[in-house]
Amino acid sequence: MTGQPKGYVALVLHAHLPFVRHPEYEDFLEEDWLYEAITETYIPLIKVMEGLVHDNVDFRLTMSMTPPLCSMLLDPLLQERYVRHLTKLIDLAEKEIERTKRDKPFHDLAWFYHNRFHEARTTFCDGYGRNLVGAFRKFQELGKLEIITCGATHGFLPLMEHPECIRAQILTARDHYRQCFGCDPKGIWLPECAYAPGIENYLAEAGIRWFITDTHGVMFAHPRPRYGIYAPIYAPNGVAAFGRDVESSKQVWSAEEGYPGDVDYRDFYRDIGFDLDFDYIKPFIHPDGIRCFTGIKYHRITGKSQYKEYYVRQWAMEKAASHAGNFMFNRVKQVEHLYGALQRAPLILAPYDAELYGHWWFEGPEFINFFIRKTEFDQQTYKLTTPTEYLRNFPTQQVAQPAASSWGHKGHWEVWLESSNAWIYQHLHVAADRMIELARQYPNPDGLTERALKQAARELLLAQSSDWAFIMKTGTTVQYAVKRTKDHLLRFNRIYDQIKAGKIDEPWLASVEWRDNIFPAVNYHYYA
Amino acid sequence: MKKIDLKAMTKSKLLKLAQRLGLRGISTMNKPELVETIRRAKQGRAVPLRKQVVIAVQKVASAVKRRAMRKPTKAPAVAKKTKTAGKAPVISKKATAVVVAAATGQVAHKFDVAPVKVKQSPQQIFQEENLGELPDTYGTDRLFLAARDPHWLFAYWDFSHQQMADFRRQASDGRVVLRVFEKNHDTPVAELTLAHDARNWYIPANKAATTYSAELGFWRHDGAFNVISRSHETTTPPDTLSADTTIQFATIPVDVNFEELLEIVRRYLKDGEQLAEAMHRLQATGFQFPFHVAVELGPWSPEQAAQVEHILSGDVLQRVQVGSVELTEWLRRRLDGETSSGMFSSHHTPPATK
Repeated sequence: MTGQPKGYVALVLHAHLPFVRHPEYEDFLEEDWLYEAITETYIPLIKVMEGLVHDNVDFRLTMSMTPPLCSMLLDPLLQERYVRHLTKLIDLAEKEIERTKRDKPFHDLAWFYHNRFHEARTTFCDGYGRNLVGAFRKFQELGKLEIITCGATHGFLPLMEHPECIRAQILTARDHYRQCFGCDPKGIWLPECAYAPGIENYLAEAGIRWFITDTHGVMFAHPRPRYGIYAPIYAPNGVAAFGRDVESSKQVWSAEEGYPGDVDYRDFYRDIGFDLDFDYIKPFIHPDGIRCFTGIKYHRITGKSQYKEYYVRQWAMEKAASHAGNFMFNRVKQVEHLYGALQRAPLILAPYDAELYGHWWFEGPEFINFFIRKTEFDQQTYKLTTPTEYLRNFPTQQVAQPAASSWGHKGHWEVWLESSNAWIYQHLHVAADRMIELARQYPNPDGLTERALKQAARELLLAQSSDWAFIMKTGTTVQYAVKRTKDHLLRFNRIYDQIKAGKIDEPWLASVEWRDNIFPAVNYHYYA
Repeated sequence: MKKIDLKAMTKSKLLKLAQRLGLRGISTMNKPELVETIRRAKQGRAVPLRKQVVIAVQKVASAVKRRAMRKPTKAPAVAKKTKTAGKAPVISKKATAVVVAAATGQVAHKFDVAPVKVKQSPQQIFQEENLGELPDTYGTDRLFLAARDPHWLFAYWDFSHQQMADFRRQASDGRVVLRVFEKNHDTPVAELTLAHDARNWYIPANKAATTYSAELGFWRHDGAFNVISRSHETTTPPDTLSADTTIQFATIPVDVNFEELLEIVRRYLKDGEQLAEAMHRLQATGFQFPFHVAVELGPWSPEQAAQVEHILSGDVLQRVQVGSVELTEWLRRRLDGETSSGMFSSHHTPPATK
């Protein structure tokens, strides 16, 4: 690239799954969320980055990797179960190669999946020794990927009554990040992008320099931001806030301009887990005979009707390349327009759920791959960056107080505070009262009490995951979300009662530690 | 060993015994289940009693995929429900399963990945570990108030039924009242009589970017208002561009940590001033920092300001309330329109091999 770019683009992928790990069951349906995301999103993203590094394409990408996700990726039990899951998929693909041998398009696709699953297993087992956190860390250490943190369990910070809870979410996440990535996080994805004034104080305490808000979090800042969302602002305490760009979000996801609904892309729903004869598919679905997605999907979106034609990988790849070209072209236009108006190089910050790429939009990782390569070779208007790199190059920004906001429907708290889920807050707040009481009462506990205090902190943190309230509202797997909320609160309350009574049931505590094993080194003193 | 002997054992002994027998899934069992499982194991039927039933129930109850959780479609019925809940103050006791089902039934059905045949049995799901149920109230006397968005406040209160009944008895008019105040105003902006079974309330707030607080109490016989509990203050978020167009820049190097920066400015800090504010003030007056400080930018011409405002308010503000989740839902609805029939057909037509 010659000369100074006229603008910067930061792609941010928010990778998160709630902590779902059930050692008490041999198979647990919701654990599939992780396995599917590994096969369809995390490994493909790693492959994309490997390819870029191999081809000497300079790139910048930002990912938030939440502590629950990192904990699950590092958990030996879940790693073992993922390998089991993948091995079954490979078996299934082999059976499919045999079954489809007289039907060339499907036969080719069966081979495609077979090779893909094999490659995933090689990447997972041989490439990174089952440690995908280490894989992402490698790209951070190469200076290509910036990894940021999140709330410890993706707790919805603005609805926490106690500042101690916000602080514990942030500091626990910081501590965990250090263990995973060997350095301190510079940035944070606030859970659900939910920000309320004051939260930045705990970020500063953790040494975190920037966070992301939805568009209006920066737009409605006080005083008015001169560059709108096209430059970060410094909160009065010096932590920077970056606002989400609407235009680039819309281009990827909107009804009129969105890419993933293209007829050539793979159809999400048609899956052989549902399509094939029950006796044939039974060994590969849930042991209880519940049909579920296998990940082998042979059809393209085709059109609006239920009639689906088979998937043609090459057409889908050509479409992904063309969409990436369109996305690049639109960024060029956007940057040129803004550069003229603002008389300053704008920053376009485009955050997305990471799992939308690959899991939901199958060709999403390839889209990113094409977009990065085209950005490097086909234009000179803008450069890719990460928020930290941007701040390093442009440390002079406006001082303004960001506005309370989230990226949920209507932009504030309504998704997480409405008739289906409002009941949880009373219980969460009482548990917080009690956790703070315990932490203050026991600064120097004996061994068993310390174990109980740590487990109490884990249970409170797990109960606080915003995912549960979100699921209650959106109406799917509601029972599971309600149960998780109640179980963690009830376990917390029992631990509290036992500590207060001085009668800790050690065998039960051990079983709870064994199940809810997130944050082995949790520091409950953060609640004091 | 007979069943009766097992029953006499403590739970921890039973657990140890079960472990010795190599049984799985035991940590989640209550005592009678353990007894039964051990008994069966000893009879040579090493099938954990609850495991199959519970898993079956649980799996079916939650047999949906993560796509459904992360990328929900908002069915019209849900949107409508939400809207209603927003417009009128709604008493939501605890969110009961009924309400959830009514509000979300359509969506839940939409994302079932299999026809639900097994009747859900909440008792079986929730009795795991015998953790019991959460209490209705804790009696902490807390009055919680939060600005949910620029125009709605949410309040809940934590008093036992007995406490509430006592307050009503003491009140001159039998009412327990929630009063909401705008900051620095003595007259409440809302005064609501709490229904007997109300546990929380949504209260319309007229003003964005305004601080409110609430108190819960009753009118005494002597005519005074008896406050039982006060909430913290909460501030509604702004819903428009700030009228304040003051521009203050600060140079803050991202690789110098906050402690060092604070050390530099500490003795010049004014009362209540924060780091970036102090850095702006000192940098604007030529204070020497150990790093390069950019020249302060001058004011813009009115034309420049108008042009920028046009870009920002035109392009951005129109869609500013569209959250990412909503964009996702929007897309998803479209995709559903194209594909859901195929999805459902796979549930209802007999599976066929190609």
